[in-house]
Amino acid sequence: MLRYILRRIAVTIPILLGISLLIFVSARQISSPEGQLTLNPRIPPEAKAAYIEALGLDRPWYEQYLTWLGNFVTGDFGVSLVKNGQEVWPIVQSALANTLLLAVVSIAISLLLGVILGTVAAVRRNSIFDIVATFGAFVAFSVPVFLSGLLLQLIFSVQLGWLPTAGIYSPGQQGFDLVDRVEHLVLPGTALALQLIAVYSRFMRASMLEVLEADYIRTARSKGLSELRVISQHGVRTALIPVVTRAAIDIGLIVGGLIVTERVFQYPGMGLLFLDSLFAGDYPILLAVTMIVVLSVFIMNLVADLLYAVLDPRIRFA
Amino acid sequence: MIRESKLIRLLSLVFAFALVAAACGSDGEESSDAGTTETTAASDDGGTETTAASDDGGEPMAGGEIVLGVEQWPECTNPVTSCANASWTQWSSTTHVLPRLMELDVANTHVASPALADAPTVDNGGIAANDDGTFTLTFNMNPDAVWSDGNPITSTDVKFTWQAKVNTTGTLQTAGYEKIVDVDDSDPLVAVITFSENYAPWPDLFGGTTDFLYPAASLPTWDPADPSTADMADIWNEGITISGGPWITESWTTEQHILVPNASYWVEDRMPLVDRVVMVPREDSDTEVASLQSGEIFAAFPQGFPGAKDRLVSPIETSVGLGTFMEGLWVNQLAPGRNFEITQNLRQAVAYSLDRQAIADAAIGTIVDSPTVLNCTGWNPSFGDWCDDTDYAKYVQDQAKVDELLTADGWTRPDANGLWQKDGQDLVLQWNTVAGNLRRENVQAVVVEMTRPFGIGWEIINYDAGELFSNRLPTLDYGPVALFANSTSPDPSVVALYDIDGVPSEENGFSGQNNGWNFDQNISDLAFAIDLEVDPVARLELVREAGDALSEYVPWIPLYLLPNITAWRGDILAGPVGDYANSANGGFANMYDWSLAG
Amino acid sequence: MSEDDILVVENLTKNFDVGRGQMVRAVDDVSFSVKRGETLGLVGESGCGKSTTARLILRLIEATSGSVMFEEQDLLKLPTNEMRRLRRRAQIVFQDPYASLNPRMTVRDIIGEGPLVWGMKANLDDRVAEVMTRVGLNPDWAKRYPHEFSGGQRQRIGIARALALDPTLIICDEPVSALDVSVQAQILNLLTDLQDELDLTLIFIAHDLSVVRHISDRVAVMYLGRIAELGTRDEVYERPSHPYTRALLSAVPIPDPVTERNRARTMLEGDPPSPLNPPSGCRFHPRCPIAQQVCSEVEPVLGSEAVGHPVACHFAEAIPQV
Ligand SMILES: Nc1ncnc2c1ncn2[C@@H]1O[C@H](COP(=O)(O)OP(=O)(O)OP(=O)(O)O)[C@@H](O)[C@H]1O
Ligand code: SF4
Ligand SMILES: [Mg+2]
Repeated sequence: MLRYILRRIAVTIPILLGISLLIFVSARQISSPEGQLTLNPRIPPEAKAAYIEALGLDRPWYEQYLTWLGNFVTGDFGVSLVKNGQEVWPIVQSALANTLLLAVVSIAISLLLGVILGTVAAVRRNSIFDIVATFGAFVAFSVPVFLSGLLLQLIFSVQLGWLPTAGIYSPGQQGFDLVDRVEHLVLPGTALALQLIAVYSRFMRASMLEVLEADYIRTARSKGLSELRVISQHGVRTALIPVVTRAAIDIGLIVGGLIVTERVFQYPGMGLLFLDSLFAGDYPILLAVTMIVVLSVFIMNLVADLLYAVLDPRIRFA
Repeated sequence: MIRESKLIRLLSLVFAFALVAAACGSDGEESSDAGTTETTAASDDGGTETTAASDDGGEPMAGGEIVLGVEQWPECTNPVTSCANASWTQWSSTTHVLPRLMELDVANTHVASPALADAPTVDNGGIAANDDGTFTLTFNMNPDAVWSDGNPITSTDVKFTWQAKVNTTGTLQTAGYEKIVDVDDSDPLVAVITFSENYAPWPDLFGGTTDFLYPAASLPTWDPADPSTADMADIWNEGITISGGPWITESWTTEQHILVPNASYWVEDRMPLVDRVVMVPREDSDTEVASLQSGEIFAAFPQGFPGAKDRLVSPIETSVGLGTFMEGLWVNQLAPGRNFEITQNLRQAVAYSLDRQAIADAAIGTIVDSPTVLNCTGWNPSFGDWCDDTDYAKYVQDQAKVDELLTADGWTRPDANGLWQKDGQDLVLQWNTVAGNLRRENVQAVVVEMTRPFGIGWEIINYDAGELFSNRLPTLDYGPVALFANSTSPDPSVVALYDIDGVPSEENGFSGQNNGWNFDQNISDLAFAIDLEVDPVARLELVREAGDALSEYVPWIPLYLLPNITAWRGDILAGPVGDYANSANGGFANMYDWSLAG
Repeated sequence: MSEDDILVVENLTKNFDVGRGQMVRAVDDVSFSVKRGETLGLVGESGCGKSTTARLILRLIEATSGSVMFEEQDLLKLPTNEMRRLRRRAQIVFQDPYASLNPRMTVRDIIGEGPLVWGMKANLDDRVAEVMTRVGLNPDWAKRYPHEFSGGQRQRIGIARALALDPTLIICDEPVSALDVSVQAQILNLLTDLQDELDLTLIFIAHDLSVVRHISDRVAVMYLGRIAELGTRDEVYERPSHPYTRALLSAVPIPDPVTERNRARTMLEGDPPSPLNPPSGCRFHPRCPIAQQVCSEVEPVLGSEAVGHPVACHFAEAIPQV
């Protein structure tokens, strides 16, 4: 197992390097901290040149990349180009914590509901419940977040006034407040969960249908087990494996993939940070965000694989 | 099976749209139920158009907290470095806490700020062009003006600001400050600033549109004898900790900015009415509107977004300003891809083939009720007197003019419905803008149709913003035509834009700011003269002369200004909330006068 | 129904709804009985409804109609929880020892789960060890997972798990067809030994007659959801009276080369027709070597008149005997 993990890590390092180079080149290509300056006629050329020199942007790109890489490898994420020398790591860290909270909470809830819905739909295949669940999942999945997010805001914030539209705390709130924090988590969490529940319930239904056809389910029934025990102990447990591993992979992906949700709900996570630093051309932040996303995708994929091995005794790593 | 899933898909979509319709529908109902009478009043103070519902908010009350939405959260709050480049750094922060020498009034005219005893004039000796070619400004400080730490605002602060502007690492704005040779602060109440030569745009130094005064005490290590010690790069990045304005920052994070009244502020009629202002980011305009509707934020100052006039409805009130960004067609006479000379005749012919009103309607018709065409080159009609809004008025669609101009230029049009031709080349102009910018792509679509009867064709190639602004514009590798926005300045200082020696080129490392727009010596000379003429009356004449010359030369074709909107909850906020929609200081500039409706 | 019948199946029918208004008659009006302590062989080609019959009897799927009397109770009419109780007494060993064991459970849990839910918590581990020993598995392996065993061992696990509940009836659904020939005999011997020791009743399902010959007391031959012939071992093997039985028998290799050569070869040609729309009249007529006009028009009934044991063929008495 340990050897397997080490080997996976070893294989990933060159991939990470390649991706970092790619990200670096494209980040420098599509956004530039000096871009804004070019357009402002009130900034004299000398000031612009001095600024560019101070940031090291005048040096050849490979030199900039190697400098960045050297620092990154030693755990130094560098300083923001645009946020005036602020350390990148604390900025990214707080965004990462916010996104992880959102991701883990909505994935946990989605997993729970998705598994229940999917299981019931599979057990009562072709029933009214199944048809309604299929339909609902399709709606939830095909409505994009910018639309569902807006709808949630219109219904729960504007019409009903129950929940805040955006942010992670009420304006003026200082310091931690659990209730306030949770209230602000509900809408973005729901927007995200709607899609995830749709995915997981479909996934669970398919997985469950397959498992229910398995011979060992018949074996379990023939033992005289109650239907509840057959479905929960033998059916759900097995059917869960692909769903849970998928959810683990999702955590990795979601760390970087919440751009729309975070923007709609002004949720200060990785997606919003990515967007802001992309527009601002703040490539140290952009790179840190992307590398963390890549890393988390890698780690969660590894976790998913290990999870598979833990949940399914047939799988062993050579 | 296939048919079934298609049906499900269709049903789901219908269902989704039904939901949307339900949500929006009930929304609209509520607004018409409110039954307020809407009056549209165009005030004469610079084009602010206010749509205000009748005031049923009752008596304003003192105290309380107001919450405002900020469309672009500043990356940091340092007023000297690159963070200061974003308008919102100023609108959400600096304007409310730092003092200035000269300031813009509600009509964007420079007047003395409360930090000054009076404004310098030629008559009071405050403005003096000296025999040795130098230029002196004398500012009398207001003896009542104090910083929030109790120290008076003095000429030493002016001296410090000058040095900080020039010496801070990553400083963004040194123009004008570099011409200063000395600031005499021997009398704390008199700041005598000496320039190496006349500098007419002086009101925008230490104040005006984007600048402020910084307290010398903010950098304890500052040594006036060693200007390099005036480096402010490392302070005030997360909130300006001192104040010389109506408000003082209580806290600033990337999630909210809390301002409270500055108890030391000396200006009676600008003392804040509420106890606290909380600003929060709302970067998505849909979310911004929803937060206004839900009452989480009480006011916002969005840049005009499509559909704004239909979505910002009662109880939201709006006040629309012309804005400080203009959009126009920039003509790159050095475009590498051109197959023929981009002559003055050709530029004029293009201008005569455009229905600019129709373009403005297409671009901003869903934002404001009656879009206005911009007729000035370089000057914003809502700032001062510099633009009389007539220069480009002559350019309306005119087939005869187009024929005459192009024929004189050697073009022929063998097919009366076809394109003009010269030396076997069709008159087709490459046109670049930012890909994915719906408004601009809309304009392109309208123009392509519009100029067809005039025999002028287009080749549309759009780039993403980074490519266009970072790689192509600076190296003149675009066009000959590009459509983009440019910020306007309240002061007609246009040297950089029209300096004939400032055309970016390989020799100067593409560092010039005259992005290929002007090659006319006369215009370049006028631009310099405008900067040197310190007598406002004589200066205005020069500006008008330059305007006429530019409208003949047509280095670029102005189209319209991008409107700004102050939007607020009329049932929550009271006071003159919409007054500064047109201000270069942003729609929140006068929030000291705002209060909660009782 | 006689006193010592442990199981009596009457008019058992199962229609599977396969969508678009179509029905598969997997089991069609099947009747037979099994005596306490005897072994009934149930034989037929793949798809003829053997497994479905087994599952119907244990009510692992619900029958369309018919009755299943097990130890004097009609299983099909029992409420679900009482049915569950009775399941302990009637167990099944499945065809595929790989798929029928939950891969995520240890052998101990697989064998012990049944006793556990039926309240035999106290000496569960002893019980598990006991049945494991009985089927020839080392009880020390109880902590292992199924994938760590060979096919034959797994089938022993399957049998042990059935035994753990103390059943009176075990239905073995092709328990050896997935195993190596060398292992098949071991399992068959194990089953017959167990039957003797524990006084079990067995229904032994197979798709060729040779497998059941040595262990069956009686044999039922199924074709396309119906019983074609039903008789004692001798009746079926010595005097096969249905052309289908004969065809099946001639497919059985006979160890004596002389007999083999002289045998009348009536090989089955082609695959059985789809149960979706079975042939009219006698279902076997498209493949029957002696079919007449009447066979495609009139369906023969299962009757003992012709040859003394039940056969469903118009020409049962006319069939030449070997
Ligand atoms: N759940 C089901 N839905 C629809 N049809 C089914 C179902 N189960 C079985 N069948 C059909 O019923 C018929 C009998 O199947 P069954 O599994 O009982 O045959 P079998 O005799 O056990 O065959 P084998 O020797 O292959 O195990 C087949 O045609 C099969 O396709
Ligand atoms: S009834 Fe006819 S077709 Fe059917 S088995 Fe007998 S002879 Fe053959
Ligand atoms: Mg079978």
